[in-house]
Amino acid sequence: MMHSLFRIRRLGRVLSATIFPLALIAGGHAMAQEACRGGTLNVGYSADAVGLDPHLSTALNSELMFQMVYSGLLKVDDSMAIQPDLAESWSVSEDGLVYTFTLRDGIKFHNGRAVSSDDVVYSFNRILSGGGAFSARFADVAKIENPDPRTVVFTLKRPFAPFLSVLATTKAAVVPEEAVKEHGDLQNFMVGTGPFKFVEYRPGTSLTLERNPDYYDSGKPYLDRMVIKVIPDEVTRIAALRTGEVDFTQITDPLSLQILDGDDSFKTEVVPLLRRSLLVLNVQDTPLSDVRVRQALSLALDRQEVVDLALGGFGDISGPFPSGLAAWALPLGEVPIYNEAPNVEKAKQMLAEAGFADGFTLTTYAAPQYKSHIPVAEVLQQQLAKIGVKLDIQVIEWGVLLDHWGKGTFQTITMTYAGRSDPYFYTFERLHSNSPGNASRLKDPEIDRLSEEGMTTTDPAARKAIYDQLQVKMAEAAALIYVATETEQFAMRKEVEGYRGMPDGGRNYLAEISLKDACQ
Amino acid sequence: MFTYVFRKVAWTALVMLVVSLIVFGAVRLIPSDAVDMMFQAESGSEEQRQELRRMFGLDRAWYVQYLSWLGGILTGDFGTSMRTGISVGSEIARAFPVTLELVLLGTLVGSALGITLGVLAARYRGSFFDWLIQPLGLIGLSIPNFWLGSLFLIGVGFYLPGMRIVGYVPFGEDPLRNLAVMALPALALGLALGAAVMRMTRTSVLEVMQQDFVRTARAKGVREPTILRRHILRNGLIPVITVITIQVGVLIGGSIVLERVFALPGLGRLLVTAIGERDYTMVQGITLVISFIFVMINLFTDILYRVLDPRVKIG
Amino acid sequence: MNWLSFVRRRGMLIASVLLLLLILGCAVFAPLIAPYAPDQMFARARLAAPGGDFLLGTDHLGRDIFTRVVYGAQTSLMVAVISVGISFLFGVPIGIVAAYYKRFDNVIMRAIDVLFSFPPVLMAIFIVAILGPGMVNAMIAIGITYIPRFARVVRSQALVIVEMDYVKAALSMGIAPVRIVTRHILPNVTGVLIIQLSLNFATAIIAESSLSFLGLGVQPPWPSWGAMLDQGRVFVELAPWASIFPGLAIFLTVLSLNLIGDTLRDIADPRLRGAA
Repeated sequence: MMHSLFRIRRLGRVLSATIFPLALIAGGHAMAQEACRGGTLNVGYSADAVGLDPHLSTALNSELMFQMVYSGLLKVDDSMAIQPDLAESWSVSEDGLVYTFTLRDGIKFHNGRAVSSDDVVYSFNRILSGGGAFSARFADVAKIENPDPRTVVFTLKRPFAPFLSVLATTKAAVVPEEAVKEHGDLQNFMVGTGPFKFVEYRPGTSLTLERNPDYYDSGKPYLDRMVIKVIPDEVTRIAALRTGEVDFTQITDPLSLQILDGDDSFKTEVVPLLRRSLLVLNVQDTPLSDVRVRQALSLALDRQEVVDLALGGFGDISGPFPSGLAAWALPLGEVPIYNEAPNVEKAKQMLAEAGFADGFTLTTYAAPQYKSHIPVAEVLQQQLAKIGVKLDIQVIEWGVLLDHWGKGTFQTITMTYAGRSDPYFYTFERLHSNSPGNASRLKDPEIDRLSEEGMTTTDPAARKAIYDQLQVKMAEAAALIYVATETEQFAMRKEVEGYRGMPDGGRNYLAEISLKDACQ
Repeated sequence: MFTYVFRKVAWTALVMLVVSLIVFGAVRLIPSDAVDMMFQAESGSEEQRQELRRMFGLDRAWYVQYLSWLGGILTGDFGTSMRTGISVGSEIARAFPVTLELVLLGTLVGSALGITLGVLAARYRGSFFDWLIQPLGLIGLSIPNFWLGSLFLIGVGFYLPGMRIVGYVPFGEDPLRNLAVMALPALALGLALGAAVMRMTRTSVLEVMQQDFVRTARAKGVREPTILRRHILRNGLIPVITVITIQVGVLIGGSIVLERVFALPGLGRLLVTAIGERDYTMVQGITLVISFIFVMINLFTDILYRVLDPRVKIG
Repeated sequence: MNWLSFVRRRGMLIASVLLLLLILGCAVFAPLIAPYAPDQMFARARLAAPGGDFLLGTDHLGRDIFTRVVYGAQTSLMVAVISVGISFLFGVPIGIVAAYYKRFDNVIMRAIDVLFSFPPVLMAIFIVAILGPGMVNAMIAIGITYIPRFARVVRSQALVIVEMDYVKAALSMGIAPVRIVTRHILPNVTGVLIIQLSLNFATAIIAESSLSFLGLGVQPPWPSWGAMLDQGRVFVELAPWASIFPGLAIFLTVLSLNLIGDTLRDIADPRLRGAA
């Protein structure tokens, strides 16, 4: 008996020793095979674009649509690293004031015309003259020149380290002047340099795109067509996935993923984002003007519980920088207050020291338009009650909330801040005393100084040191109490390959999708 | 008769004017404006926002804005959307047929269903069928239509995977596909109407059936189907028509909700989005159009009632 | 009317009244009946099936559905009563005045027409947009929306009464208008009013659920049957109980109200049977 068992086992070992490497080779070979070409991808989005012009439209949903059609000088990949797009190389001067970009050769617009540096200059002037939040980021640009058809030179007034990050978006798209002249603007008609060309836009219903055969990254995209359908209701979107009317869809509520769990014909993807839910505190208001009070609030939070309850377990706890910003975020163990939380006893003590041993009432605004805001506020309410702080949740409409946010007429707000690739956006834009994005109205000279330095220092090592210090200061100032990063979810037919989610919520990798059943 | 119609129309015009003023004012009562929505929670100085406001003419006095808007409306120009810059008129023109079709189909489905069942129930009064139908009527009135719509969708997703449920196409382009997509929402919308119509039909028909002239006709030996057609239905359906026309207004409201469930690019969806974005011109334009339709329907009902009801005809 | 159908109708009526009393009881005694707090979340028991600790199961945030349905009765009751109350308080006097004072009748009815020119849901959306989302504002919005309905109903009935001989006689005798209104008009209008009231309660509850669906009605953490329906919709396949039970609650309440309204109408005036 034993003898034959041994033999079988030995046989098994021998077999696997030979088969396994063979399998690896075979598998490797399969992986090296080309992705299938062709087919139409039907995509389900929850909201329509608000205008398709990359320079004029500010809505996130617009960007998610025009990302497929336009290109900027640079782009980010799924690890938020900066990659060349229309510019194949670039250099920065020693003093950080001059950025020189060299364009790729042979790029064509969708209307057939070749792209030159004149188009880049035209496009940026268009951005600058348009006004709006995006152009404000280019405030430091002194001049833009193009000495030859493939070179563009930006000269800044002062060093601005995040400049490349600001450029790495399709919002900084290069557009042809003749198209703008012909249509007045590009809100309803798209002419770009991206992997897909515009075919038709039916507002409120769908955007149809087709493959750009002249795309500079030859061989891509794999798809022949892409149709983005606007389906606001989640139930409808899932039903459409089932009936085959969409192949790939966004799922706004992570818990809905369970619905498709048992079903083999679909697969799901959860993408961790840099977007975070947080509590914005108005430091001009009592009792929030006392830093001990703010720290106590931050200390009392059980952030993991918020993730579990309000976000359904989808998401990660967060410090001043989101953990997904791997190059910059300090491990939470090194961030004061965040590394001790939750510590209810100490938080109560701090409140007592500040003179609030009996606690106090705090109002927070939250809007129903975004799925997570109110549940997060509800969990915070439960948690803050433990230190004697009564959080009064006032549900107001998003537009009204923004109004209060801008004017500073609030005590606290529970909301989310979008994720960005450069630490500048989390520091200078949100906490510098002169920045319009500083909703807390914090006036901290140390934070001001450090964020300015971080913005103007170009040496990465020096910047890292500065931002490390900043994160500690941000935690101590506790003007913005960060809670958790969120996730984005997608469901698709199992034949859909190649999608990768992006931490900033971009959908650029839709352009890399291939359909396995397209080549069968 | 003509003086009546003329007076009615004149009053209606006045009503619409007041409505336009109310709509204009109401929209501006909503806190926050389009420019704030554009910047969202981003940096953007106060000067930049003011500049954009100037571009939209939001810095002029309210009556100037109102008059210029009203003037535009009367010449057919509904202004441009503050968000997209697209002409409001063209957006409305695109969304209007969708809502119209939904409301029409819903009315048709509901009426057809309701009248048929109502007549049958009256005909076979007291029978099991009648006994069953009555509570069904109440049930139909008691279910929120968006829930019904969702149930349909989920059911289709499970049991009829081949069916088309999203992706509206205009009727002119692909009639079959258009009807396929509109079928479920029309059903969800029409069921409540059907219930109301059914109840009214049953009552009214029963009432007419009791009347003398019907009994006389029967006594004279006129055949049943003829009686049904010539006497009962013609008289019994008058109040039913009134009910239908009244309920159409409710259907318009119901379509707003269902458009969201079924991803139909109609006026309701356009409106809800525009309110959220504080797109004044869009909200004003759409509300005015919807109110206008509603008022027209009421006007039509009033006149129709006058024409049909012989008792009212005198004077 | 034969005996059998009379009993049948009586039976349904009794059932409806009992059900409404049950709902009222839930609303009033909610803290005593419900085993948990309505916003208590049990992270480990999300979308749990009915049974065990959770009589009717839990929702997507791990909250007990039985508790939320019971507390939801409070919300529905409040919405129904307050919104209909608003319609009533404003609609009835307007209707009476319009019927009584012929001079104002035209103007008032035109004003009512203006309000009438907005479909109900549209008007509610607008008002909520101005006032902001939330239960109170939803109630105000729904209340204002249905004022015209009350006004019209009351006016029609009052017009008939005002034309009656004995009222005309009273007028010519110089009796004060207030007395005429209270002594003659109001009592005769009451019948129609009660019918309208019960039907409007039903409509108000459905209107609130539609507003909640659009995100404009009662806001979390308040449990509202309409909001529960909306939230549970997405998970119907995984956890049908999350929307079946609140849906059933809405449905049964509205059904009962409609039935009672119907019966009252039958009793009051058989000719009006079936009028929408």
